[in-house]
Amino acid sequence: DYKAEYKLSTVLGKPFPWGVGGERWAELIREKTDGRINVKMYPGTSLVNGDQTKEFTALRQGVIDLAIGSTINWSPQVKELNLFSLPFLMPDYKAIDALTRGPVGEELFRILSTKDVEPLAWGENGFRELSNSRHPVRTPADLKGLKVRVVGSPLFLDTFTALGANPTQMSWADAQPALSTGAVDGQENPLSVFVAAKMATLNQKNLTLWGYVADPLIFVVNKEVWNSWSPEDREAVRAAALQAAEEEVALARKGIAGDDTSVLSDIEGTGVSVVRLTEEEKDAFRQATRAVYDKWARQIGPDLVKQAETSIADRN
Amino acid sequence: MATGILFLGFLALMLIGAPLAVALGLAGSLAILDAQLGILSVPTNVYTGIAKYPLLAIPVFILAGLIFERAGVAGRIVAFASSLVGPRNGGLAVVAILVCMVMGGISGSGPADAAAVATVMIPSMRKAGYPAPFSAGVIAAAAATAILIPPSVAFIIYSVLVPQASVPALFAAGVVPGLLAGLSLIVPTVWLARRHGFGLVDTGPRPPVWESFKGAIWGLLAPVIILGGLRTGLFTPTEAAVVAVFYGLAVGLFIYRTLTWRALYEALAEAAEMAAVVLLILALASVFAWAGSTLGAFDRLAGAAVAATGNETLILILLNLALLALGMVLDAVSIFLILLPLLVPIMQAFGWDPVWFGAMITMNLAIGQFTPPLAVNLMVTTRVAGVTIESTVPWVLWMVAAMLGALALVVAFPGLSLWLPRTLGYL
Amino acid sequence: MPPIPGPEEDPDAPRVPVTIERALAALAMAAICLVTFGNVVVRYFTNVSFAFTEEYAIFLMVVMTFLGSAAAVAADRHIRITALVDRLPRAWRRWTDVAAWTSALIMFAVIIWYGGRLTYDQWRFEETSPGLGNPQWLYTVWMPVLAGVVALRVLGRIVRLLRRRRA
Ligand code: NA
Ligand code: NA
Repeated sequence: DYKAEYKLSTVLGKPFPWGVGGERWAELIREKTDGRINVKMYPGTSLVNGDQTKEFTALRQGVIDLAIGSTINWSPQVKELNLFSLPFLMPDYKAIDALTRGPVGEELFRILSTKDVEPLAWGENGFRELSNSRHPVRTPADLKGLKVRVVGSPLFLDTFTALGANPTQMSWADAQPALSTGAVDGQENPLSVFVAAKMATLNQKNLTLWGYVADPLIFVVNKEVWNSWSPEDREAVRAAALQAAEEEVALARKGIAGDDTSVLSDIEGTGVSVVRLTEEEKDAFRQATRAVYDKWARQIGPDLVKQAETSIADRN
Repeated sequence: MATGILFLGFLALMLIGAPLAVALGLAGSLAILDAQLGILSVPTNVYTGIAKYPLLAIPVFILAGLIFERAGVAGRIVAFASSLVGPRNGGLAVVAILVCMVMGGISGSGPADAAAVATVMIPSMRKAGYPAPFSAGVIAAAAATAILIPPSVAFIIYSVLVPQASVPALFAAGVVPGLLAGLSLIVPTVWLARRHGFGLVDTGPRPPVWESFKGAIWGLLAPVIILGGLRTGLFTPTEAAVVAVFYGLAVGLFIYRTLTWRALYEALAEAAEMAAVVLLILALASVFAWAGSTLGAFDRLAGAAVAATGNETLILILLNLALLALGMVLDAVSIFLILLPLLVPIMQAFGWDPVWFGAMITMNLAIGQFTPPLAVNLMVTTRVAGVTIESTVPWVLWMVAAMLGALALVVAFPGLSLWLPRTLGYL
Repeated sequence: MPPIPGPEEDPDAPRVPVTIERALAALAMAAICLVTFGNVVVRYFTNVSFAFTEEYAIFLMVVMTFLGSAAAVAADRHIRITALVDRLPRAWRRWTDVAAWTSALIMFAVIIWYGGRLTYDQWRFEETSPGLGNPQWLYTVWMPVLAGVVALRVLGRIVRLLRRRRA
């Protein structure tokens, strides 16, 4: 018994890679199921009134049928997803891939599938970089006393507190005026968000590429909805998710990773000074947040964290 | 089918006199059930509809307004304004308008402003020879500027529903339209007072300017602190509201020494109840809005409206007429919650500036606050004056006409509202 | 916008005084102000982060909404349009009132029941709050519980309406 329309939830819409990926998934599903499954995307987590951290619960309850969710937003319901928010766990893109495409990814999918959802593919929101209106940040000491807006997870409060900053939890709607008036000094987000939200116009003139955490996205379907589909349609939806996710990851890394760094030069063109940390400089931040890492590794599960560290060490 | 249940259900429930919040929430729930969208979206929406940080500013600004009222700020501003205007024909009525505007710079809601000023001014206006229905009409109209002159509960809600428009930008955009709206009222007020010979009774000596200024300065500083704090980035809107509360407390307890602990408790309880009424509507309207947008009902309606008229000027005029008509029977917050999901697609279709649009709608709804038959501000002032709403009609219609003139200017010249937010760098 | 003053001498005045709801709502309001003000003070005068308290302030606002709504039901201060039903004959008017308040009772029953389901799900799945990592159900459970208080106030209105008819 198929519904006339299935609701797909995302946090960002077009032109963010996240939103492009969502529309692409919907389009591919329609194609591959010959129109039997009709998906409509609702960006801005509008299906949960914009409250990103309620998305997973709504998904599990069937209020949302499909979602491309962020590991940060779903961590209140799936504590293991905090793994990706462990400070300085993943040094580069290959490390992200080693996790999502290896045994860690499989284990996380197994955990998710016990929570009434069918996980299908890994997408990407990207490494989260730090910006502020005061001065360039090169060492943990530069962060001292900076008021930084962070997203909702106690782990982020711990990380920034350990670095001597003053983290403030704030919704996005509140963050923009707070940044423009200087009530808050800094923020952290993927570069794609930095660009699309025109952070330079919000006085965010100092950008530090420290890649302290990355935020993979997960393509999922509500279990009950999944089970209501025929086996061939399920495979079609899975194939569509894999294809859309691959395109989305490529788009998220375009102009940032590898030889093409056009996004960074565009950012510098708007008068933003970009600080690229050396390995030694990064290490200072890593040392400063070590206690937070260890504390949260215990909460996430030592075995999973160990596996992640091994996968990253073995990446080629 | 579900769309029909949504709109007709809401209409039916509203007409039998169900609380507006219930009419919105129940119609939304029934539509969600009918379309099998997942009934658990109802409790989720109710909770997330209220549990938003920016909304904290609403109860706190309401409380700030009440504390300043209980502290006796209005009376001192009246004395100061009287000392400036002097015992002229119609002078006291002009004072009432100016005081409403200053108090509007502290209070975020029209009825709260109306209550604060009416209690102080209507008795003295009666002594000076103004008929009570006239006074009630003038104060109700002038108090409507409270939702335009920052802070404004209406703007906070608009910003939550239309995130592209930030609260500081909206607050700035309301200043000039608010001043324009208030000043426009002076014309019919003075003209009517002169024509009918109101306010000719001598009510004693003119208060000394410097002495009354020293009394009023603490109240006059409040808007400066609120706006200055927002502008310099010292506070977020919520923090500005709470700073205003503690400032008002300090003035009432230690400077004027008029505020008792009992009065403070009453202010807390009353503000909580007033805020609860607004927030319950917000909570249950989010069920209605969720059902409507998930069903695609708002997009279809907006598309039909754009297609049917097609012409930007025409749709702008029709929109204003519709808002004015609704403003006669509903209050501003409810109209925002019911109409914005429908209006935002229209706004986007024509590429209107969301900040200007917010200022325009809010000005429209301000007029509705004193347009009979259902006019929240008039309800408050007529209750204080002990007259009927009907008796104010011959006077109030002139006020409506004057503020419509100011509205026409704001609609025709977007620069009037957008100049300040641009100058302050919010746009 | 409120306040729409309630009738001065309300024949439907409740027998259980609303003092408790009013006092608790006032307390919630005071707590919201203290928490938010504390946040401002600490943020500007120290380098300590106090921002987590936002989670409590927002939760208190939900509590205040339902408590204040209960008091507003008792005093008939919720915004509703009675212009039309006021023109009906007295006997009809009574029934539209009963219907209007019954619809309110249904609405709050929906919040009690499904709000309970939501709380149960959050407990069952050990969901934590995004800011502080507290069990989320500890916050949510107050929505159905306090919706129950509002529902009792609504029920009180309906009972008094029906009694008045018999008298
Ligand atoms: Na105001
Ligand atoms: Na009106």
